[in-house]
Amino acid sequence: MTSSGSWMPRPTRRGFCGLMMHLGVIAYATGRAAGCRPHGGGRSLSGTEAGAPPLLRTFSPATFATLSAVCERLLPRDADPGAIDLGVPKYIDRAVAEPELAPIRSLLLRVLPIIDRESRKRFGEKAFHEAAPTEQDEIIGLWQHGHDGGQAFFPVILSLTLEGAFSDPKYGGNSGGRGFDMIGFRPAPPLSMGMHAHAASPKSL
Amino acid sequence: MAEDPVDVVVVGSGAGGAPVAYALAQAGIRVVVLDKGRRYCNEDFDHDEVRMCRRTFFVPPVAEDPHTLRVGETAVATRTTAGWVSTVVGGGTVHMAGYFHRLHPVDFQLRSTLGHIEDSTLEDWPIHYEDLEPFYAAVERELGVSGIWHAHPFEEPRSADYPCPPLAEHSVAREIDKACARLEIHPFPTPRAIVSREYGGRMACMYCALCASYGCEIGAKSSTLVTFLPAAEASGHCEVRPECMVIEIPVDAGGRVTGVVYRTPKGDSIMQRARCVVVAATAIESARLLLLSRSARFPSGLANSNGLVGKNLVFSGEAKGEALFKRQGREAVPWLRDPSPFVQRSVQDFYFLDRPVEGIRKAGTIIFAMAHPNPILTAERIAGSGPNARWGIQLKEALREEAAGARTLTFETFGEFLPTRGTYIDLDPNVTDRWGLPVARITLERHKQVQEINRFLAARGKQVLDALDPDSSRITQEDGQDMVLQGGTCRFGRDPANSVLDVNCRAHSVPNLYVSDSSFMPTSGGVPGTLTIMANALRVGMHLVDQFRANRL
Repeated sequence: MTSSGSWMPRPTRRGFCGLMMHLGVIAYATGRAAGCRPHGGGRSLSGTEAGAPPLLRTFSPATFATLSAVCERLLPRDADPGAIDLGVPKYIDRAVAEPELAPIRSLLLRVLPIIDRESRKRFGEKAFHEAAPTEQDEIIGLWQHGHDGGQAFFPVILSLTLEGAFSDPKYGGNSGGRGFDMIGFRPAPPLSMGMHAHAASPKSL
Repeated sequence: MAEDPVDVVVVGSGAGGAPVAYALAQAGIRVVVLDKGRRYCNEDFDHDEVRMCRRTFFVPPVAEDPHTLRVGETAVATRTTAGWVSTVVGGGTVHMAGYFHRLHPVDFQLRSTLGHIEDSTLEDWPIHYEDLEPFYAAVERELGVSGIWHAHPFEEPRSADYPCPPLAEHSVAREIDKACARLEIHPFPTPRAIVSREYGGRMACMYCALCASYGCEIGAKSSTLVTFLPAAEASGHCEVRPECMVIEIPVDAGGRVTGVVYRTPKGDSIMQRARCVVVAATAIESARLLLLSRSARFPSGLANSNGLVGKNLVFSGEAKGEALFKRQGREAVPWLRDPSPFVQRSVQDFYFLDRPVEGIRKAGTIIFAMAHPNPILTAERIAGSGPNARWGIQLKEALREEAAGARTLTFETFGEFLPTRGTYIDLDPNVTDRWGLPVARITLERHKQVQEINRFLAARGKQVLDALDPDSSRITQEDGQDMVLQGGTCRFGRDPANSVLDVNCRAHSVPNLYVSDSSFMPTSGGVPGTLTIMANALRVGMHLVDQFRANRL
């Protein structure tokens, strides 16, 4: 029996678990202690601080700029809105502030600065968000192919970008439902379908 | 702390637990049902993909409450969400697709039929299809299962028609029928645990776009939350306690179980005494609970004197395929504009073959469906994964072309997963859950025929898709297993030396301990197992009623 192959377990039955399936990989890779409880974190991560609502909940402005540029390359603006138009970076900033995504928050906070440094190193001190699109793609491509031993970053950032583009707009992404328009998804139930109910038995039977 | 003693405590409120509680409570026997998950009502369910499908609504957080998984005994086990069914009251019946096929008679005697298969621990069941048939019919009646009788030549024997007509079908179903007629294959309407008309005070299905992976906000999906549990509670003899994690089943000096110890959300430990304990926490978690319950009498775990608790774990063999039909150039094809959610076609021509084809006699079921309409999942599916994942402008174009501009028809296979010595659960020596208890470690070593069965079924599914003349088609998962559909960790059998449970699902070595979920199943069968779990649980419940009435418990 082989130890790898297409039959390796993929916990996604009928669309199940989504982003959480990556967490097993991440939790193991970062050696989290058994029974570790993300609720015990030192700072309050959800809810707004006193006074004016903060613009960002998770990322510094510099890291947020890197995040935005990565998302925009994964889902760039063309005839249809891109990741930034859809509010994807904002969505991610909020989503990973939730306690259950603590391991993903750590992953992004660790990797995004590395991506920025990589850009400065390769492209004459240009920050990642200032680099040319082809330069940005070059760096993203490295991560897609397992750069820095990190197998998890690329699938996680791609999943989060798609969440931001195609989730319920109440979470701050998919601005104006324009992500749904792009893929032809209609959130309202087609109630008229009731009229087809047991119209007839199938002919082949 | 301790609660007042009851007659029976049932651990788990899903397909394996709720029917037992219902049978007992109806007979006036006092039951407490404990479930570690929260209890939701219809109003709690919505179509928020992030909340329902992508976080921890149904599956616990991997940092707090994981399984671990290794492929082969020499591999390192890693944390995973795989192997959880659904940690809410109602269990997997809350989010199921509700494919409610029965097993076939051959499933009960597969060992006698196929003979010994090298490297497999295949065994016959100690009961026959005829023993379970009345309970299949009773569950179908309680739940209002929708379907059509005499629908195909491979149908299992039935004593009664389906209580509800089949669900409305997508107009592509007729195209599938025509294509299958040319291929001499016999598709039939998929039986579903979704009511197609008003039934037992419940509303009929409204055909909203999102169903599988979601709870039903009108209660048309026949989860135990809207069927067995409220019926049991209405008797006045059943109490369901959510968010209660059972951590141990103690035994007395005579080797009888005395009840269960559970933790409340506040962290209190409570002893619930009972004359009889029924475990129904899923095949993986029920075996784990027995293994956690060590005592002087059962040092290697409750009912585990022969070392078989956790062994012979089976899943459902699974392959998947899809075909893309672009709208452009097909403006005249009406089914491409039909938003109806259910394709409603199954194929069982390859369930059991009189003569081996490609070395296979027992394969399983193929079920056709539209690609899951979840928007994020759709985008992920189109993007793909790994080194060939699409992103950038390429992904935008693919999303427009394949999501907005096309329909994707899929199939999924449910194939026999031959049991092996190398596929089992035990207690992980290194990882504990948030209660400090060792988690279930899943070890997987599949039989080589599982791959052959999956490929065989996948090729037949793809043949049907290709007969519909799509723009493209592909097998997306050639060979895997569905780890939600699990069974077999506490096999039932007649010989106490090679099974854990007796024919009534009572532990051979503990006179007042029963396991009533899919743990009892010696084989996976070739259908999704939920209806079979419920039918058997009802059988166990009726047996318990008899035992109480005869004062034997």
